[in-house]
Amino acid sequence: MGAPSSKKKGVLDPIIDLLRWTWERLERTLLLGLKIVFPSRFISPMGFLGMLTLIVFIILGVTGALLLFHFTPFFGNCPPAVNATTYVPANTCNQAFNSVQSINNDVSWGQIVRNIHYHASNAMVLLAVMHMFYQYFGGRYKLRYEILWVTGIVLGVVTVIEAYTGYDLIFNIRGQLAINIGQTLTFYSPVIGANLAQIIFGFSFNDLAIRFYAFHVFIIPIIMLAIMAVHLPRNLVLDIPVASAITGIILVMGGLFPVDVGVKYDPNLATQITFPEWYFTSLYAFIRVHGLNPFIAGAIIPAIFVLIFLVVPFFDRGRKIAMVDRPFWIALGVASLGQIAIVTVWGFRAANPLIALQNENQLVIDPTLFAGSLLIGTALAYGSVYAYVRWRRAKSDQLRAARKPMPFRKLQPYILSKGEVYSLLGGLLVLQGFLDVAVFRALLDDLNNFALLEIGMVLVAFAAAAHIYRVASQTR
Amino acid sequence: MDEKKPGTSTNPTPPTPTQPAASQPPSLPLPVKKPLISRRRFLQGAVAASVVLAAASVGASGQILGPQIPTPLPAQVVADWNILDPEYQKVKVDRTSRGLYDEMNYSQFFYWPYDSSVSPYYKNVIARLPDVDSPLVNPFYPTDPILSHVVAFNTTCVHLRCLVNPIYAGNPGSGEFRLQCPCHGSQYRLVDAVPVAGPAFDLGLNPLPQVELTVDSTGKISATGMRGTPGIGRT
Repeated sequence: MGAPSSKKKGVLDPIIDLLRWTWERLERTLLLGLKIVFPSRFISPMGFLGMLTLIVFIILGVTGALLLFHFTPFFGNCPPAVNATTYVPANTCNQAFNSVQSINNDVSWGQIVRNIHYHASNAMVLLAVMHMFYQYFGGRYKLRYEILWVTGIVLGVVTVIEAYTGYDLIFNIRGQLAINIGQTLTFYSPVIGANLAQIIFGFSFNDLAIRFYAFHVFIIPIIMLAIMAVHLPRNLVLDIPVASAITGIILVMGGLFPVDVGVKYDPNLATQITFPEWYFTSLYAFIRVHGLNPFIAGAIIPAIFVLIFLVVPFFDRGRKIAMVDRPFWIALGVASLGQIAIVTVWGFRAANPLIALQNENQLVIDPTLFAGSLLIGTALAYGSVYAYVRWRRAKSDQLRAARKPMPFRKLQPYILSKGEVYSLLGGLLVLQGFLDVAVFRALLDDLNNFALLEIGMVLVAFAAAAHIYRVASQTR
Repeated sequence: MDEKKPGTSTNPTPPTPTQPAASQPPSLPLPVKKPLISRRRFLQGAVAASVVLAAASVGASGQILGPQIPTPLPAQVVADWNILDPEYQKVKVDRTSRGLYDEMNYSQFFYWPYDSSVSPYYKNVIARLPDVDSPLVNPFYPTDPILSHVVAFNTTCVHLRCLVNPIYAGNPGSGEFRLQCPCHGSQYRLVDAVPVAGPAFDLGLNPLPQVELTVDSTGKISATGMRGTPGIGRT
């Protein structure tokens, strides 16, 4: 009876045949040369943060392409009034900002797409930095990974430049501050500075808009794709639940914290105090240090910081990649994390964090306090981590000398205790309350971002369900 | 090139022993035509020359990266003394925060030498110098009856390129008329735009670019030139 039933053609058979035919032909292409693993068991997402960054890059590409249809890369004309008190901004003034505003307010689904684009850009920078540090602490720049490491660092820098060109295109006062600083720093770079500034920023502001549009939309993404082609390892891990969780979190963030357009930049109105995006506040802190040359603060110091990471594989020549065997490099990594944290916090605040910011003179940072906090913070981080790693090393050496077996944590199915269950439930309740407040806020906001929140929640819920199912089937 | 090959192979083949051999000394061989340059050298030279030419053409076409620079405006009227001065005279006696020291009603903004459609960095301020506390005189035109009371500067701060505004710093009566940057608080003297406070002063940066002025008999003030570059300053 089996033979005739196999002859009987199912409805789906032609489709399956077509898929098989396609799959066999795809083996001739590069596409199937990549080994993409879809893990059936849960593995830590820290190991494939790069893949998650790529997924966010694709999200950015799609949403960015949608935004292209409605953005005007043109600054326009802002004629001044003879009398400053009777100034009325012209319709032609800052058309780039006007178009972003219309995306936010008028274009259907415009605010949602822009929200995703904004939060995904933040997520991409964050994921790239996390990916870098995870690979750094894991010693994954050794073992013939040097080219992957160097291209990764370059890719990270290009990612931040891409984000910079993106948020300048809005032409609000925050973008304007970034344009001003970028132009000053480029202008003061030695020998080619003036020419380079004209090539990057153009002469007029309309040049600047169209140039940054070209950079942001085409040139830098193409460069990123080219570097990615080298940076892509042959073995990739694509974990669908984690990928959908990341996408969902981006959407939920877009729903909870909808991005605003900011204050319109108009050269005929006095600008206001503003701070750059979070990944630039560290540079902004350096730039605001009293008496420090902006070019040194904004270009030389970050370049040295990046350069140190770039050359790490050529100085850490040891064969061993375990953290206990690399006390100096581990401590250096933690110290650099501490430095980033301290400087970023400085950058977000006025010079004295305890006093409310009232005027721009409070922005100037006292160099002794700044350098002092930086030195003490990094030295403490470096010293304590170095001592700890050495202590761990000494302990394992002792065990080895005494010929005792190294203690290994035996992998067991994890069973939650009663207290843990209660605290977990409590945490979930708190999260529930937070989300309720957020939904209420979204309601007050005419449900503009409610769809975003909802889709994000569905994705996160799917990820959670898939994860729980996977863990449960693993422990059985 | 093919002609040289028989030339080199003349030595092994003996000349025909006839009359012409007697007229010509047999010891003298046919002149060997050495190639001017070898084939290899020629190819090397050709490759090098084309590389140089290609590089030069790429370098020349690199100008496509540069922006198109608009034509600057000619010298033109930017303010009227007969409006600027009466505005000042109106607030001169009112020494309250709403009058002389609050907002400079006797200053105007104008875009020159490129109009406002080009770049905000060409925004300039022209101000009637107050003479109530201490008589301020424009150091660039100290003797001119009108221009000694008027200053004009580019407003692009030389620190980080925000646009400065005229303000009054300090206590009323101290005569501290300034141009102040709203971003990081750099202050420039209103008389000559030399930095006196804030990051521009701390870093020892240049004064703001000065707009050169002329005035005609009817009191119309014209901009004729700019000393310095916006964002870089007067060097």
